[in-house]
Amino acid sequence: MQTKQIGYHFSLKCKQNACKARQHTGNNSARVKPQFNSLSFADSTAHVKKFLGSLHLTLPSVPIASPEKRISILPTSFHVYSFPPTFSILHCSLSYTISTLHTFVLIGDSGVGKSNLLSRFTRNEFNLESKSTIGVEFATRGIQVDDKTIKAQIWDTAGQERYRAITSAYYRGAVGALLVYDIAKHTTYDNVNRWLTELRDHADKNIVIMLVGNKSDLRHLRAVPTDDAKQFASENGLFFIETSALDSSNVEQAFRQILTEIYRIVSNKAIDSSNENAQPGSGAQIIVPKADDNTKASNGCC
Amino acid sequence: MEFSYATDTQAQLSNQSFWKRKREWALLAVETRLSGLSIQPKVSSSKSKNRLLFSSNIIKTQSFTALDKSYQGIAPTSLAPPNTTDIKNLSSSPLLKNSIENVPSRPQSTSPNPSTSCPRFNKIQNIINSPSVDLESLQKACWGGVPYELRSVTWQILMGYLPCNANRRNDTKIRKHKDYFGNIEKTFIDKQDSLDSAIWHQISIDIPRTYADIPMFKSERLRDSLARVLYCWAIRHPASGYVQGMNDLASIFYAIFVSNYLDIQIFDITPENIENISKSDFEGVEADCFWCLTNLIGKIHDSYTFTQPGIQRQIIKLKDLVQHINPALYKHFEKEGVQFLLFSFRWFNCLLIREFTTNVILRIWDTYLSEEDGFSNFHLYTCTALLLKWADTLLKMDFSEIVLFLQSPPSLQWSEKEVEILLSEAYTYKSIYSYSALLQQRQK
Ligand SMILES: Nc1nc2c(ncn2[C@@H]2O[C@H](COP(=O)(O)OP(=O)(O)O)[C@@H](O)[C@H]2O)c(=O)[nH]1
Ligand SMILES: [Mg+2]
Repeated sequence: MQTKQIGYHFSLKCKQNACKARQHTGNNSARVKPQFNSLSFADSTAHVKKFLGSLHLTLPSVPIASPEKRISILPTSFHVYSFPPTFSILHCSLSYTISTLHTFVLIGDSGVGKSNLLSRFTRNEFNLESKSTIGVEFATRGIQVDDKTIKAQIWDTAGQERYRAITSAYYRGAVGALLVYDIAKHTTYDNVNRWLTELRDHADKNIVIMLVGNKSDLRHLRAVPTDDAKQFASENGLFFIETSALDSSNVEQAFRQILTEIYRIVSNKAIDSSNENAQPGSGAQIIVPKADDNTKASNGCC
Repeated sequence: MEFSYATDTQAQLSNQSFWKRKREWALLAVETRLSGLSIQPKVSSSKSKNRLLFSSNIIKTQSFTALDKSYQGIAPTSLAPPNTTDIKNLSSSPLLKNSIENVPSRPQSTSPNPSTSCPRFNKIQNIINSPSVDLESLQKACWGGVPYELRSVTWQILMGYLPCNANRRNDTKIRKHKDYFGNIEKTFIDKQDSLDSAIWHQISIDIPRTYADIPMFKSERLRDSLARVLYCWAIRHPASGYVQGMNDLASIFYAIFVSNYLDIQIFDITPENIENISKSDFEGVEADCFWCLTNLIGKIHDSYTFTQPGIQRQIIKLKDLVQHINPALYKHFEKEGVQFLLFSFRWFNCLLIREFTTNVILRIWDTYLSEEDGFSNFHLYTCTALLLKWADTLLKMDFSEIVLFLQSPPSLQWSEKEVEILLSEAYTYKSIYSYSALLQQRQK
């Protein structure tokens, strides 16, 4: 999960010219591994456009970056294999930032109050007659966690089966999901299992899920006992909360709790993975494809 | 619409890009169409014999002036509610009481009512009153908007619900009403135990959320009727069933037909007004709505079947068009990761109902109904024109700004005037970039 959150900036310096390579992984999950497809040389005097060879790095433990701050680290060792072997590297650094953007999805049956939870959280608005959601809708809000501001990007989805094909595409990038049911309608609670399957099929396997029993203001109509839901949640490793978009109780807490959890998990992952071998930042091999004109390449630099 | 160019302009024309020329023709076509005149591009033969007199800019301004004119012709009814005396005048006219019968021609002397005295009103009225409606001329007359008083009957003809033959209209309606209530009986009374609960449940959730900003939709009677129509439709069309957004489509017909029956402007109708409609008349309105909804969705049924292929196809086309017309915007969207599906899905699913106010959407649909494939094809170009309208603004925005902007677009504040321009642009795009032309261009 964390690899999606980290953007790398990579720079190489060689003897005479400063050569820079960049790669931002962004949040495109297809490119989570820092494979450098091209090295661009910043030095305008260099004739080198392409770099031929491969590069091995070993990196130390990566400290947790405070959001939006770029951290530079020096690899414990690095080798550049190039042809001809004219590179003699003076400096190599790798910097990264933990993205502060977190993507969430709101899922659950139609009419349970997803859109209103979102509008309550992002704009403090509630509308008894809000229109049905068609496809997906989107909202953002910044939230304070451990004295850092995290930007939450929240996708509200349409509950109807027919839209599943479209909405499920938005599960993919999500770090968290709020699975909403209506405490006054037992069928919406019965369907929670189906939504969990849906998430298992389409979402990141590390996605953090919070079960949300909405419309807690409808006490006299309650059909799902709090304890049942609580037990179900703990059996399935979900967080649990009951909210009311109408009287706004627990709405803030629901989002805050899941954001905090995700933030913790992401941060921990960043430490864990830096100690593992397979993860980026530790001895990862960075392979640069062959340049089509190697004479030029070798002549130009150094 | 055809224009004859002198052959000796050929050499000069070949200097211009092909597209530019096509654009000029199209703009002329728009102008001609909207002003109802037939304009021949003037080629000055004497001085510089090959040069076209119109630069595309001039044509543009002219076409908008033409638009303004035609707009003013119908503005008083379609834009603002007529004043109360007008309403009284009209309600005394039998014209609005029963749309089944021929629309009686209005005595010339009666009224200073601007809408009924406008040429378009008379023109459409005359066409409808003729024993056999010439569909093509009706479409032509309605392209620039249908006056509010005539919309109900005009739409029913344009939808293909009422026959062109005036004598057969009454019978058709009676038969269709009977058919509908036969369906209702079959779905609700005979099979009461086997109601499809998933569909029924979804509809009952969506009904209270349908057009909650229009008072008439608060009426329980109307809500029940809308639910019946939607459910009955869904059961009869198992390939798609009920899809969220269909409630929006159906409600448009209710708004027009009820408003026409009561002779009250849509936004002024109260739930009490609805309660006071006689049972048989209300059932008639319900049946009309059902059949018009059936005909409408019939044109775009694959937009609602499993995985909604119709919409997916439209989105791809929209993407292609934008890439072709405004590559900068396309690249910007790509860079920011804004998928077209994200904002345009709703445009195709609800036919822009969510993007415009009711009066304005009616005006847009007037044009759709007057086009050959209005809802399945012309709509695509309207969406294209709509998106490109905001290109400059969107180019300065990042991902979340773009998405939020398009989620509640400024078109909600548009008046009919702006929409007239939008439609003329859509027409232009359609003429220039009809999808097949685009493909051919690409293959070269
Ligand atoms: N009493 C109550 N009604 C709610 C609450 N949240 C939403 N609703 C209502 O439930 C209906 C459906 O809400 P909506 O947010 O559109 O549901 P969605 O389909 O899940 O997005 C609307 O009429 C809301 O006003 C709540 O917390 N309490
Ligand atoms: Mg919703």
